[in-house]
Amino acid sequence: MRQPGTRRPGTTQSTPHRTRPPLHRAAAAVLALGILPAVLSGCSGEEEPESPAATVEDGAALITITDFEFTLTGAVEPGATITVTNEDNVGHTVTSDEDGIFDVAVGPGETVTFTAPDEAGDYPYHCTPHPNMVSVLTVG
Amino acid sequence: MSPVAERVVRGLVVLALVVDAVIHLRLAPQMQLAAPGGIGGGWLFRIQAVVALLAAVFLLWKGSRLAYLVAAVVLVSVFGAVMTYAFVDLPAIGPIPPMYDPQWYPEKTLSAVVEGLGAVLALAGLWLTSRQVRDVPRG
Repeated sequence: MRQPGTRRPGTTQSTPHRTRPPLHRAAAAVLALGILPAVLSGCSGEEEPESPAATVEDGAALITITDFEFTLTGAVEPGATITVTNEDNVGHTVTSDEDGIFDVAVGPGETVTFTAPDEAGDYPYHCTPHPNMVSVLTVG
Repeated sequence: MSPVAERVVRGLVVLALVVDAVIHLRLAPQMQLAAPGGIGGGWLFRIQAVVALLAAVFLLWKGSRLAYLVAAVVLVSVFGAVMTYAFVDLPAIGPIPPMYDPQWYPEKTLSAVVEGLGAVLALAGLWLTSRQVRDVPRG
C-alpha cells in the first residue's frame, strides 16, 4: 500500500471551460471531489519520506521501524548509542515502559539516536501513540 | 416521536459527542507525535473535539433538525475518518498530515464505537424530527 520514496506528481492540467448538461456537471463535481485530495496533497509540498539511509557501524545497535513493528539488529552494550530509523509515514516513539529510562520521538522517515542504559538487563519499550507496538531492548 | 423518546435520543447523541470530544482531547498529545506534519494531528484532534462539543451544546439547546444534522455530520465524518485511516495509508492532504494507524487499542476502539452509534442515532433523530415536522397538521 505504502511505497516509501515514491513521489507524487504535483502538476495539474487545465481544461477549456464549456457549458455541460447538469448530469455531466454533477459527474465532474464528483470526479473533482475524488481527485481533490490527491491534487491538494501534490500541492502541499510534502513528500513521502525517503527511505532513510542510516549509516551505522557493523554490529552497532539499530532499531528499524517498519509497518508499525520494531526490529532490533546488532548487539547493545551498556551506554552504547542506539540508532532508530523510522520507515513509516507516521511518527513513532521508542519509550521505555519504566518511566525515564529512555524516550525518543522519531518522525516519519527520520533517524535519531539515543543512549542505551548503563546497566545490563532487559528493558521493555513501546511506542506512545501506538501502544500495541512493543518490544524489549536487551542490554549487555 | 414522543417528546420523551426525542429527549432520550438527544441525550444519547449529546453523550456520544461529549465522549468523542474527551477521547480526542486525551489522544491529542500522542497524535501530535504520530502525525507531526501539516497543522499536526494533535491540533486536528483538538479542533475536532471543540467542534463536537459545540455540536453537543447546539443539540442540547435546540433539538432541531438543523442541530441533529450538524451532530450527524460531525459524527459521520469523524467515524469515517477513523475507519479510513485504520485501513488506508493516505498521504498528506493539504494541511492534513498522514495519520494511518492500523492498530486498535481500547480508547480508539471505544471512540469508534461511540461515534458509529452516535452517528446512527443522530441520523435517526434527524429522520424523526423531519417526520415530526411533516406530521404537524396545517391550517
